[in-house]
Amino acid sequence: MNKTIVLLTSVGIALLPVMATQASAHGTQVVKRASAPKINLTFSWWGNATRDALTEKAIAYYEKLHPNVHITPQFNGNFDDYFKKLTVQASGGSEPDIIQMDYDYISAFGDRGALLNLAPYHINTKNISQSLLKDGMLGGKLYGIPNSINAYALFYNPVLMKKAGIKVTPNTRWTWSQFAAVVKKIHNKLGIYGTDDPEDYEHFGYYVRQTGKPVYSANQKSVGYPAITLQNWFTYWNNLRNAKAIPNEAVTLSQQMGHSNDPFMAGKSASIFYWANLYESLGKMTNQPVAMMLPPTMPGGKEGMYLKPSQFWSISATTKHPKQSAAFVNFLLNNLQANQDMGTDRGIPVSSIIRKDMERTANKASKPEFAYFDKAAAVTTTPLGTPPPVNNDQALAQATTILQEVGYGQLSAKQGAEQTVSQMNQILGN
Amino acid sequence: MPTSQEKTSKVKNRSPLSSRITPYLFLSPWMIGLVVFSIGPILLSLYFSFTNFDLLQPPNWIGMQNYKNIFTNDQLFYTSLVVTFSYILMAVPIRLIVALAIAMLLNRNIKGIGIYRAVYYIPSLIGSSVAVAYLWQQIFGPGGLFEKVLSLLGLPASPWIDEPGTALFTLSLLSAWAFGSSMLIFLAGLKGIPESLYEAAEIDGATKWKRFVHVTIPMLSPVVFFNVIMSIITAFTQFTQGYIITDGGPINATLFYALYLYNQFTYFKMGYASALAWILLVILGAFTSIIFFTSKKWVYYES
Repeated sequence: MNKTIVLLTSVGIALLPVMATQASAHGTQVVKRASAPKINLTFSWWGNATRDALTEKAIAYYEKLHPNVHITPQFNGNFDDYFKKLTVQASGGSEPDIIQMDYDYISAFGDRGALLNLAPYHINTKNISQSLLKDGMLGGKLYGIPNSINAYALFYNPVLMKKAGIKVTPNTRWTWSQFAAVVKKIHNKLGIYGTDDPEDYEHFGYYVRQTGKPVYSANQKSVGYPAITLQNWFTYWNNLRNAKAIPNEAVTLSQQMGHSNDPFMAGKSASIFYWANLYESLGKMTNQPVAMMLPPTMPGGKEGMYLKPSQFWSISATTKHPKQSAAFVNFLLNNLQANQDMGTDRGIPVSSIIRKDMERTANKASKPEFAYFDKAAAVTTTPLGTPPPVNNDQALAQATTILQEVGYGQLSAKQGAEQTVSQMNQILGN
Repeated sequence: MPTSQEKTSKVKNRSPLSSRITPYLFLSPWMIGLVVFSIGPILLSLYFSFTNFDLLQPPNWIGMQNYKNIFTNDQLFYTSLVVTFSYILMAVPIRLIVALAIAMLLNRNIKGIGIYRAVYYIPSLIGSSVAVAYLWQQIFGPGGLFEKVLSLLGLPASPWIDEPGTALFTLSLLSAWAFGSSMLIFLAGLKGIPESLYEAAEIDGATKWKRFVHVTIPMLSPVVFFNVIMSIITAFTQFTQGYIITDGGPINATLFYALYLYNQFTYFKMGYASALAWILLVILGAFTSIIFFTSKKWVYYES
């Protein structure tokens, strides 16, 4: 019973602001144009206050261009809550019309028929690279169009690096063992952490790619790497954790549960692995100076860097206005003003034309982001590949638990690696 | 108001069918609610538990596959059972002892006792709310009040809510904090114990403790029994705190059964979640009947 009540109230609470905005919008706009029938679209994304404000600017511009369309934004805060809510909405047939979708979830929703095939809707994609478009393609159906490009980055605090006597040039790229030495040196000199614990399966994906193996096997029924790869990764971080050069597991857990902030934000850590699109928000959230470099390399290994669609624009399969929703997505992708309004908060825009224009007019705050993407694109050799399989979300939850158990010392690196591989294979194989 | 005489005569005059229908018509709002919102979904979930229903596509019958997977192939099912049982073993006794102690304190004739009773009941009104869950997170989280108290006392300070070893205990404390409803029932029970029994015991030279053990406890046992059952059922279906404060973490230390079931739903595994719900029903039923069965041995009924 408790559960039902909580569910109902949370849905109710979640919908309150939506109802409020709808009500107020109706109040102000009724007068303007009574002739054309008003079309109401709902548009939902995850993010933070910065992103909300930027996106609303673009929405306002669209509504000005198309007075007969009203777009109701749904703010959803963080990533996890967003997808929990979207699941509830999808099961109740009340999905928002335009959905911000993620690479890890697009199969979960697309393969189950919750997303519209966008191919027939004449959305202009000719300025988007074909390999990027493929990332939203499942079984020949276009369930999402990437809205921007993202790349993995090693963020660092230049002031702290300098204090620790570590030289970083614009072209510095360490190997994993050099990086470990840097992390330890920072800890020994300054008594702070050298880096935050990148205890996340996605971060491990970068390392897997360096070994030349895919994260998932070709038929997607199992992982694509041998257990020893994960064991090496565990051992690498265990060593740094034991040396106290990275936060202990309790600190990391607390931060993963949202109970405390990343040590990097508070200047208690000199670096952090993160997505490059967060460059500006990270700079705003912390009072520390922030810069980016390419993440470490594996000597004798392959290049691990890849360009990833930050997110996709998807449309609900149950939308009443597929054409109008598609027109709005087209606007988000190809309208220069809209993209300038939204900035680089979601990453670098996918359209090559928009990107050129924005790079030319980029302000000081977002210039380094463009520069970093150019750098990342220059080293990238292999495309990202097909989206993860349909049971991926559950498999990731399982993997995350084991990562934590290893971090806490409840499992050895070897046990953790073997359990991850066998349990993920079991979930993916179903 | 018609007298009973009139009523019976009227009923006699009507056709037997309509007289039988009338009460059901009066009951119908409740009946429809029961069928549509309770029995219907319950039966549907039983059906779903034998399917691979994923909320978006029509369900396919897969027989006992879900149940088989749960018992033979699902480590987290057992983890969530262990968590839930540990929680019951901690939360239920703490809560009942606190409730009984406070009830005994409040069972006195002192000035303004009504105010005290109201004050002690307040936590129960808000105890399971989302706001209090956040409050708890603040108190026991990193840099929270509790950590500061520990370090003031010179004890090793750590955020209890973030440690796998202590997180569940912290949530048990929250449940104990909302002791009000059990307390009220205890209080009513205490008031029902005849004063003459205590007087007789006192004359026989029984100490305060002996009076508690030999008079209060046996006389109160039916109330204890009721409170135990109710608390266990509440504890079994615990969800809010584990969802809001810890989301099952750290490292599944607070993965309550209900929370695990809910997670399956977020993975679109509605069939699997339904099977888990039915297993919970069977476990709860078994547990409750065991307590009912043993109650003959320890519950004292006057008659």
